[in-house]
Amino acid sequence: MSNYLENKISRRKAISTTAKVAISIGIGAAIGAAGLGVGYYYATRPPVQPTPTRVEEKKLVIYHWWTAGGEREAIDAVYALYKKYNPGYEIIDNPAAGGGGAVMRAAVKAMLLAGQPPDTCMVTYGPGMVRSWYIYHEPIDDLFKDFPVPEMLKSWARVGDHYYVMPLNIHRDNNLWYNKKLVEKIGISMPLKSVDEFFEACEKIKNAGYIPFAFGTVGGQRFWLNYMLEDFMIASPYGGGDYVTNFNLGKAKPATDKAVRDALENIKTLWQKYVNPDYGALTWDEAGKLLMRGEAVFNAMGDWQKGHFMASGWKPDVDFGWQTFPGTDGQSMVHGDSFGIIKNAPHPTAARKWVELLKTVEAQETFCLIKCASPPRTDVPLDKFDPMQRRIAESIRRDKIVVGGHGEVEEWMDKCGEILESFLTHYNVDKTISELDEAYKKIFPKPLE
Amino acid sequence: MNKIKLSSIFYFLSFALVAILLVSIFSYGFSIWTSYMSLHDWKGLGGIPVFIGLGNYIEFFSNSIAIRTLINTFILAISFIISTTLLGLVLAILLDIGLKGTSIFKLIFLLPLSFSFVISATMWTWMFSPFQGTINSLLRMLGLDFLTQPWITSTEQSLLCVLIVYIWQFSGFVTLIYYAGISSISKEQIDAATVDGATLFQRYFYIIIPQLKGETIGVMVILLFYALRVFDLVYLLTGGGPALSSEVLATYMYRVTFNQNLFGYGATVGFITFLIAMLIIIPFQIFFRRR
Amino acid sequence: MRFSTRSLLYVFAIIASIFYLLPMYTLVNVSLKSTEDLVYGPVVPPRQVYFGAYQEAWTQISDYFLNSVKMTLPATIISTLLGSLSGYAFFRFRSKITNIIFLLMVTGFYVPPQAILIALIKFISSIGLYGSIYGLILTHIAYGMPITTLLFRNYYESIPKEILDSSEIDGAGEWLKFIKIIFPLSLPGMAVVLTFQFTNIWNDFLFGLVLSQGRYSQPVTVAIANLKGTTLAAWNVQMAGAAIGAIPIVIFYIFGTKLIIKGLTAGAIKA
Repeated sequence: MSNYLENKISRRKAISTTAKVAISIGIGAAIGAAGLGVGYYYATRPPVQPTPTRVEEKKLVIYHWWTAGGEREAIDAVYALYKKYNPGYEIIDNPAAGGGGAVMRAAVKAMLLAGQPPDTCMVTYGPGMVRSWYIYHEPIDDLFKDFPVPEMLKSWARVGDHYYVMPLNIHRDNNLWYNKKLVEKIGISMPLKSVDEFFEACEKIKNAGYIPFAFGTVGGQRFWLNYMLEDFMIASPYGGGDYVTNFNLGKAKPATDKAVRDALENIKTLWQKYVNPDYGALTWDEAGKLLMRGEAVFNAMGDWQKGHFMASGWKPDVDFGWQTFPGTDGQSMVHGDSFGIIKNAPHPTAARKWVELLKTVEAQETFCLIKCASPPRTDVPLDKFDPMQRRIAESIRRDKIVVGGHGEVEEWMDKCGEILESFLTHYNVDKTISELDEAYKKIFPKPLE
Repeated sequence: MNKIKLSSIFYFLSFALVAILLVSIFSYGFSIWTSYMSLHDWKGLGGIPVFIGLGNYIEFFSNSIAIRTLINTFILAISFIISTTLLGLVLAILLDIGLKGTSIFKLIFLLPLSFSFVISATMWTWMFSPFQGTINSLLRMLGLDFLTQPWITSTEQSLLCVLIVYIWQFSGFVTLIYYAGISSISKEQIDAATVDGATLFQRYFYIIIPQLKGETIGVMVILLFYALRVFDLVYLLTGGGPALSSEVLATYMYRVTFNQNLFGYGATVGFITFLIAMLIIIPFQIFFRRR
Repeated sequence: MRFSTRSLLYVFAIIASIFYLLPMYTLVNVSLKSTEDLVYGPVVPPRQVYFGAYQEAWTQISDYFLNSVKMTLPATIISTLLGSLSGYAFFRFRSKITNIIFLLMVTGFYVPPQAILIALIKFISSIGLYGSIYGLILTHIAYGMPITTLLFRNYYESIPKEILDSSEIDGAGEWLKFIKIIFPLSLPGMAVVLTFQFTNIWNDFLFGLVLSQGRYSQPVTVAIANLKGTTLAAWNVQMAGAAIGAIPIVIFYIFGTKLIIKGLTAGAIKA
């Protein structure tokens, strides 16, 4: 032991001061130069632009979040069309599930910021989300000529004078799903026409011993609560569809608008009395499962809930029913999914072919049939869709279109969900209104467009 | 003499240069970049970073959500390190006493470490679901309904749930380290104490545990690492909710950066996390390495 | 008296084992259920054992599984070897300066990966490794350096001094000494480091998500996360995928426990 210590000491002494200086300069310079150099280099350099290859490879690098349960099959069917019309092309498929697209958006953002873009990625189709993302896309104005889509829906792809993304499918967000057998058993006459009728029905269901309203927000899915706020704002006598559109475009004043207060009061009533107590531990589809198990009667969710029910063996109009959210007749709050051509994409020709394909009646019909969604084009025949899906698609073609759901500005989607989630722990309406107002002013310093 | 000095520098570099370069680029170079960006207001995709000095830092320390996140991180880290270390020690002693089937117990305790957070979060979501989850279902089957808990759905318990999963995942590892430490203590010393009439408890408390200082420090270094990096698990298990009750610095940073598009502010949160890690770990290392 | 203490200890050990095993039981149980059977929850065993979920999961993740193997093996081995070298450097050449460098190395361990994500992608793409397995391998090697260096240096301290001293008398060169004497002696410690690195690299999700592209380079963790869709969570398939993804490590642990303990006993993890 002591021998070892001596050894160590003598070795230490053997290294003279000059050597120490030499080591310190050597190592210090290595660390300092490498660390600082790399740090400074990347801090000051503009994002790397990939050098254009002389001959573009026949590849399409695509990011999306359709990974299971109908959506996977739907995108695969569109890939098959792409390969059929563009023989020799290879698709580099990068699905990234989770958080309603949040995981994919984070991954693609990190890539874009680092100057390593894919060719195309899924962009939620709504004015808010398109405005967050258009900056990284090439205009595709020519594709919007001769494109039979309702004017309001078309305008979402436009920022300034240019169109940037091509919608593939549309979802309706303000729906009420119900267990048909339970509704008949308890004796509720559908459809419900107003929020008051809705709460009366809830009371009746509660007295019959069932959970009136099933909901789920687990795993960062707090943004579903935004849907509830929007549903109730459309239904509010002070609100309505146009109000919600303006609200989501940054033209509202949450501090004084009565519709906000009204909606919060309704959420409070609903949550205090009628929601499954474990809403914080369920995903939206598990909330749907509560209906399937005959434990709960109502659920509010976008129309992918229909796809989920059908994939689990439940039959539309037999096992479950659909109506617009009570009090929102004639108003369809919708958002869709779209793709564009990303700036400096490594394979711009492939991306262009992809977007052109998505415009066709064939692609939209193929995709929407499998995914249980509605086609944006009004000339897609609806006869192959099941009756419930047809009713939903027709309502979108007929109704006033409302901006909402996932089409909100991304920052607002996360922040609003955060505030509403915290509202459910204290139910203080005034506090929540002031939090919403403060966040709203920050995120919308001026209205969109 | 001079030759030796030069050769030792040469040898040192020949062994360590690659590692030093990699760490200085990947850990420090990139952190410097992050710290530089944290001085900027950089919003939205395609937004241009504008230099604002310490503005983001002022925002962080005056933002109640950020402060709460900071507190959550500390609570989680401290309770995790203490409870995991204690449980690991107790289990190691249990193994050392020589129960039958020790080798099976060892494997069982160690297995959770092998799962990725993606997988353990999935498992524990099923464990904790208040309605259908394994824990509450079992309690109901045993007629212990009054013991069922809201788990991840409650603002009071969500952080505790994250803690439980963390303990589950890492305590077995700690157990093995302590077990190995105890096994390497000379048997004569322990036997001598036994002859002197020390009880089982005295033997462990006065003779064995004091000799495990090295293991304890080693364990803490690794546990602290995991405590500060906790991201996947919280993100996948609770998403920081409900009502931000389980939000920690890593998930907060990810959310403000990638969901709220505040890239400069996100870099600030990231750099603050880095600074906290340094503030804890450097004194810790210097203090214990001197001994 | 003695008997009752002992049985109490058994009870405690069994309770602890249940705590550790219950989530794994849940995983296996759910993965063996058919879709209709899922409604009955995770506790009741499947009414009929159903392997369909495994089949479906495997067809979806098999390519990614192979990517994980291609990524994890070289990254684990290279980072362990580099760590054994640098650990030796810091063990053998001690001065104030090398101690400070060592401290900085170890502290590099604590850099949160989210904080450096964008800079990392920029770097990897500027050296042309973006989207390939090699970029991931390099990243994992780099972030493995601090811990492997630390573990090896600690392990070398536990090697009996006599052996080192005797070799010093021989006047063998440092590299020769390392290869002939130190390296063979460090094998038990190496088992611990290998396990540690293998686990960390195999289980990584974040780097895999942002640095790789498509089925030719994405690791299995990303594919497992993708088994859950936005419109449908097929829990049995997801759990089956998770089980498949965990199998290599579980096997590694089952056969490696003895080696790991041997390395730990020798002091691989000690300050």
